[in-house]
Amino acid sequence: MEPFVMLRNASKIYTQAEVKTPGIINVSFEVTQGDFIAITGRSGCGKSTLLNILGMMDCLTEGEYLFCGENVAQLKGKLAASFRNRQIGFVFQSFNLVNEISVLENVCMPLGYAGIRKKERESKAAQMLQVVGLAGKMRKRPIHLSGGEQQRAAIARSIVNDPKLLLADEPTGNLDEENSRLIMDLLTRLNRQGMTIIMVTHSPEMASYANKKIQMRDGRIL
Amino acid sequence: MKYLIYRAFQKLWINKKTYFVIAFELAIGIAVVLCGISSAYSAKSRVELYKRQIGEQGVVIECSGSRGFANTELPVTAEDYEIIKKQHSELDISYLLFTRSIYQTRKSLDVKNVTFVSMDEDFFFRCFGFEPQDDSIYIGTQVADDLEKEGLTFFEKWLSWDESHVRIGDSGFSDIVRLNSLDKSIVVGLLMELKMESIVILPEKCMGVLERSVEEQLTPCLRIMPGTDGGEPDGVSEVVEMLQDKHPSYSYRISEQYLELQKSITDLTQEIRIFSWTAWFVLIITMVGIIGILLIYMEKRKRELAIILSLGGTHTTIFKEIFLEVFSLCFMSGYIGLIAAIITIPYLSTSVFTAYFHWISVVVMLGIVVMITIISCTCVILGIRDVYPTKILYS
Repeated sequence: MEPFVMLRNASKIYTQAEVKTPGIINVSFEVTQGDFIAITGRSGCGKSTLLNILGMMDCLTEGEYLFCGENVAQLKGKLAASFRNRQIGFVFQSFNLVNEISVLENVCMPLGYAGIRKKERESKAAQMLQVVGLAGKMRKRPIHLSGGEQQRAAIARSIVNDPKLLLADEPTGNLDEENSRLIMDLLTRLNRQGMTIIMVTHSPEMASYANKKIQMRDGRIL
Repeated sequence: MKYLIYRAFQKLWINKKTYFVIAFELAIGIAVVLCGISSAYSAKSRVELYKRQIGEQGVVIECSGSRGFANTELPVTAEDYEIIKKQHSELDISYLLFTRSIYQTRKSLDVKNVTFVSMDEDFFFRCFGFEPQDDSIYIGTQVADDLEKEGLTFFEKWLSWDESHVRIGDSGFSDIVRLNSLDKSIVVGLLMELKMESIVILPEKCMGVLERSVEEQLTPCLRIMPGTDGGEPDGVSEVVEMLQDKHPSYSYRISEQYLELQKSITDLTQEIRIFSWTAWFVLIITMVGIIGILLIYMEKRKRELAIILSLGGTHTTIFKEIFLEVFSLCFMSGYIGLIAAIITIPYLSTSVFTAYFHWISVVVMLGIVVMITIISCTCVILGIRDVYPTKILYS
């Protein structure tokens, strides 16, 4: 069976004022559809860089990135943006919701940029908020929600376009224990429903929710 | 695209307090600029009108000190004409060959703009090419250009009612007309019919028909028209000085009407300059202020722009979104400013000109709106062009 996501000899080197800083070095791994992978490692080992590469928010210096058999590392501009919009969902540690608009409007954003009409996107967004348990708070603004609720709203936004891959960078990093557990339960539920999830985490406890673990050190996979 | 328009108006509504201040400042600024521009154009139109009047009427030099029929010294001679022509070849000059006096008949008929002259036979022959007859009156208007070549030109349209007149000569122009009747009533009646700058040449024995006016009046003796380039005639003062030196028995001056027109043109030109400078100054201050506020505001929204990139937007998407937002704000402000200008402009009229709304104001308003929008959006895009969203979203 063809791997769902594959990185082959992938490297990312940051160059600033002739100083080269490696992000990831010669990383190769495969992800099967339905996997829940936890990437662990110390701070600065390249976990977030790897996630950004997978999320098409950064580009490779060397190597290949195959997504459903297609080399997406070559995609640029509008194509890359469209790929990011439709195929990938991203959850950040700091939620990154737009505070000036309602939770519903936040969740509608990926649908809007995908060209979905207003009625349809509001309906779909409302559905997603129901899935994550925020149906009663969709008209509220993010600053009026707790940390856990904001992260759930961010997860709803990341999956509203039915992406094939969900990337989560320290999704529980800013949450307390109870909210962290709620978020991990939600991610586990989504994974059971068929969502492929790659999560970066410091915490071994959070990593235990995943069915596969990848450890990194100094930009390489151990 | 529909979503981008939706987002633009959503942002305008969400940030209405901030944008209200921006819109208010921009509307005031645009209104002031448009008022200045329209006033400048109105004043300019009036200046053009005055210049056209000068172009049509020319500059008239008047003189006083005429000695009446027997005066042998003319205020402007053929020699003077040649000198002026040489010194100011670009000008179109015409002058009167004869002295001008305003006369009234014994019956107190006020006949204006008529010159009555008497001249000796030699001078008459030189002017018209034939010898005058004693019992005849010769009538015409006067335009002189090149006396030697073309002679005098006369118009006879207003004399066609008199069957006793005889046309003399055939030079392609209407020639001098001779009346061979010395009936006083005909003469008086004819004088009533005469139009501007008419000349009646009477034999000596007919002079008893008329009385001389006791008032010495300023009468035109020289007319200077603009040259072929249509501009204002230059060197008029020099011509006046030259004539005064040559004919000290006369007093010359530039007609008051021309002087008044000149003064009005000078005043209006100054006002145009003030309006234009004010408009430009306000425009620059307004634009710098508005662009500065927008840039600061957009800097605060960098995180939001990075979120858009992470959700599948491109830099083009962001540019379009910001462009629509800023353009909508600026256009609404410009529209309000335009309305305010239309209401205010009529109150800017002065005693010298009437201010009116000029269509160029609409073009200027749109230009300001587009310029502010493009500069603001370009600066914002340049600010986030090389930044991947990760740098902002993880900071």
